[in-house]
Amino acid sequence: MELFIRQLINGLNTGSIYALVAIGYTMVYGIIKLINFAHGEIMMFGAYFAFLLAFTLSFNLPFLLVIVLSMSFAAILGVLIERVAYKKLRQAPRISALITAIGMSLFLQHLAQLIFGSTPYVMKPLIDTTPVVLFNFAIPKLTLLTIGLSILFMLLLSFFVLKTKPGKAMRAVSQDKEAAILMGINVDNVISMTFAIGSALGALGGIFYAMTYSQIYPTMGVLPGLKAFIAAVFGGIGSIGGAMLGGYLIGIIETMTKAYISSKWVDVIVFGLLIVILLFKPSGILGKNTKEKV
Amino acid sequence: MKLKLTQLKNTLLDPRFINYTIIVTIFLTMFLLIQTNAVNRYIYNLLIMVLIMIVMSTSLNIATGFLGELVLGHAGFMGIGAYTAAILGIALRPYIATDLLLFGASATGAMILAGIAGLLVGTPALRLRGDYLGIMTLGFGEIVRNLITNLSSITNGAQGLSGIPRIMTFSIAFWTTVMIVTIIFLFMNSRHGRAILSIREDEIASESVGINITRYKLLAFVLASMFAGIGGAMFAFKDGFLAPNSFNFLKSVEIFVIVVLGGMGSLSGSIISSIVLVFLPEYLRDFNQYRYLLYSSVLIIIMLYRPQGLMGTKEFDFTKIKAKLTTLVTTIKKRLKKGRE
Amino acid sequence: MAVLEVKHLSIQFGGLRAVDDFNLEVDHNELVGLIGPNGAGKTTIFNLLTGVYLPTEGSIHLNNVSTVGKRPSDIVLLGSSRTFQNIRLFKNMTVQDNIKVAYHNRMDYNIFSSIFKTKKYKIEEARANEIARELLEVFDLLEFEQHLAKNLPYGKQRKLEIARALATNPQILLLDEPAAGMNPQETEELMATIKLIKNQFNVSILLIEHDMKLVMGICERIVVIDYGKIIAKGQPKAIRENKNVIKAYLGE
Ligand SMILES: Nc1ncnc2c1ncn2[C@@H]1O[C@H](COP(=O)(O)OP(=O)(O)OP(=O)(O)O)[C@@H](O)[C@H]1O
Ligand SMILES: [Mg+2]
Repeated sequence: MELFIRQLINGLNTGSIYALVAIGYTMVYGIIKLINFAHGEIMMFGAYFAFLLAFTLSFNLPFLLVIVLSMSFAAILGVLIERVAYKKLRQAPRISALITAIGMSLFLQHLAQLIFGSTPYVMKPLIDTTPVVLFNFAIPKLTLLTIGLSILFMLLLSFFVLKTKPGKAMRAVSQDKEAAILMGINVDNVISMTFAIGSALGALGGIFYAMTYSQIYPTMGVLPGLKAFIAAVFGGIGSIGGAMLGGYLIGIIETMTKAYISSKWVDVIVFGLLIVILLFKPSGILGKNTKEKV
Repeated sequence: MKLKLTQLKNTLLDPRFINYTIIVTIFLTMFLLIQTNAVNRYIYNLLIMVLIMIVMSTSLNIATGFLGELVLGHAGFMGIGAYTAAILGIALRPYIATDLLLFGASATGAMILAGIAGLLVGTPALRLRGDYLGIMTLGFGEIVRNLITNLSSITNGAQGLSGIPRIMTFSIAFWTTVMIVTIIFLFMNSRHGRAILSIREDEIASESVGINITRYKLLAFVLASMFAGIGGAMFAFKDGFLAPNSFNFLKSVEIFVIVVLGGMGSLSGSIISSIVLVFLPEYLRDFNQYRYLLYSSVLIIIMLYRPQGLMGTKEFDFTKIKAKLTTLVTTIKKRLKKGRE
Repeated sequence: MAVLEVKHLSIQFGGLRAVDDFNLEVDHNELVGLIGPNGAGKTTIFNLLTGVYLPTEGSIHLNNVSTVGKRPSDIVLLGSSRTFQNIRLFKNMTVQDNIKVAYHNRMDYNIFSSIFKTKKYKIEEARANEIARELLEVFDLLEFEQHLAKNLPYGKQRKLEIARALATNPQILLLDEPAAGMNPQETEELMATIKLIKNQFNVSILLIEHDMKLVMGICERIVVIDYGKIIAKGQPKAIRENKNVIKAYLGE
């Protein structure tokens, strides 16, 4: 039982990271129907930004400022990517846009390699690591912070999407782009905003991922990126709530597999799960079905 | 006498004859270069790699270019083929002395197993569309790679499988490739190939004229995986060593990129871009650190400015070059004449 | 004997009953018009007849064989063929190949024949080319044989789509608004072509059309639907004077 609860907490930790990253996939897909393969690389750049801000400046920035600044840089990067590479392809066949996204993903990986080299940077946790005792469990502060901050940001996002005007514009565009244009919504701005928010959250996920595994390297975003994408599909792509749910579920399934089966079967099980979902409920847990009209 | 001459002339000008002649000439030239040691070991290996990538990309072209489905796990089928062929090759070596026969037997096994995998994945996957199918095949590719890694009693796991007979010569690779590309080409020019193309163009219309789209989608998918299996077999016998990571997502992407750059639905496009994409990075080794940066930028730029790829859906035809040259010559002659007047 | 026999056909989309108790018989070599205001359910009826949608209730028989539950490609084999309201050609294939795809099931050679270019392959392909040429001739499209379908002008694309439907050798042809987007002169031409098809290919035709001149001009019988229900059926003249029809079209 104790092992189970401990694993559950670990699962929530990993799950928070996946959930944060999955939100970016799902938001972008919801608005421009594109699987943004470069999202995992945003996550990686977010981690590098945090590293640079925390360890290379001559003065010490407070932890929260490091996080917020890194998220902002990542947001700018995300918007830039959309403007440079994806914008022109909005009317193009989806396969072209998807290939561009794959190209962008490779480009960013190798750009990072060029700038930072391929030797991993060691990421020290940015906060002190003494465990906190909670209900008789010693839980590392980092874990608590990861889970807590993730939930906080997700709540903020939900509030933003549901209650504010730009949030409503965003939902309008994702439901019916033409109608939204007729309503006077500036679709370009909404798309940029989507990329900004998605990228910022992805960067946050990247920072936590780097601190959890203590390493940063150019291809670090690939695998968690794919898993977060699976989480988004699992929850129902296009649905923000679904991405969060999917993220936590994948995180928990992954840690449980590691604990009770074997860590080498983790990827087989997660990808197998993806296939099963796609076959039996391609719209995911919270997604909607759509059908083509003849 | 005169009749014989015209007959001869007709045969010589027959497009098929011209194409065969050119293929044989290419082979002989390469073969001579290799025999006279004008080609070093390094280039020799690259040449075989080009041929493998031609097999991989033309086969993927069946599913992605002609059928129009996004397949992001082609390396998975290659991996199945490679390991099957390697294990068969090691097991059969004591019984089969001839390299060609050994390759034939192992490659057949590889083809069959990869084809079965294609059938197993394709049957459910082809119900999905577009991105979803892409993601599903991606998931399949990753599962294959993990299975190869984990089933170490058969595959020797992450350490890699060694001791595979190194029987992949340029000649075997060349003629295997010619055979596969020819089969794909002839197949695509039949009623079956047209049925597949029509599905890419409009699934609903295709059904409305009596095409059983499920059957043809599956056929295209299985053919693609079978030939990928042979590509894997060629790869297995090239270095005598296999590791699971040779068949990761990046490899699938690499094959996919070749197809896209060459033009989805153009076999000659795939051939040309296989040559370019295998050799170019090698020559860019001098500024090694920039090469993948360049490679990915080219991909993005092509998508932005020439999404149909190098060749679009057209085929490069040696016989047409002659026609083009003739018109070029006549226009130049005309111009010259005008100039003189 | 009726080529097509439809009884009590209905389909429900959520809360909407798009087709409600539709009955129809089309005889051999008959030309029947199916008309009704926008959104009446005409195209939906075609989708039911061709197996794109599964009916909620009712039966459909083609030459006495039930088609309900069969896949669209199998229904084609039973002898029906259609065109689409918004043209659906194989855009990046040649005009000839568009026809040859539809000729698929009338050819008989397997994959090995095509790989080895057997005699059978050559004979069958030559025959297909011949048939395609004849069909294209009828539709005045022969000169475009090697053009890509997408490069044809609109009116010719419509014609090609009809030619393609005919290449499956149907006994009944379903045309969904063939004159849509055509100018009066093209429509005139199309009327002549439809009459020609009916006689030359000996088929029955069920035709959806908004152009009243065309419908009244060539249909032998007309069925009018509104909100998925039949509101009138009969000879063109009677339909023109029918109160329900006038009401449905003018809207009160
Ligand atoms: N797949 C579907 N799902 C839900 N509703 C549908 C579907 N297909 C058609 N409908 C609805 O059924 C009704 C009839 O549509 P249909 O396309 O058959 O009309 P129509 O008579 O062909 O009109 P038009 O003359 O404009 O072509 C419409 O209200 C349409 O929105
Ligand atoms: Mg309609």
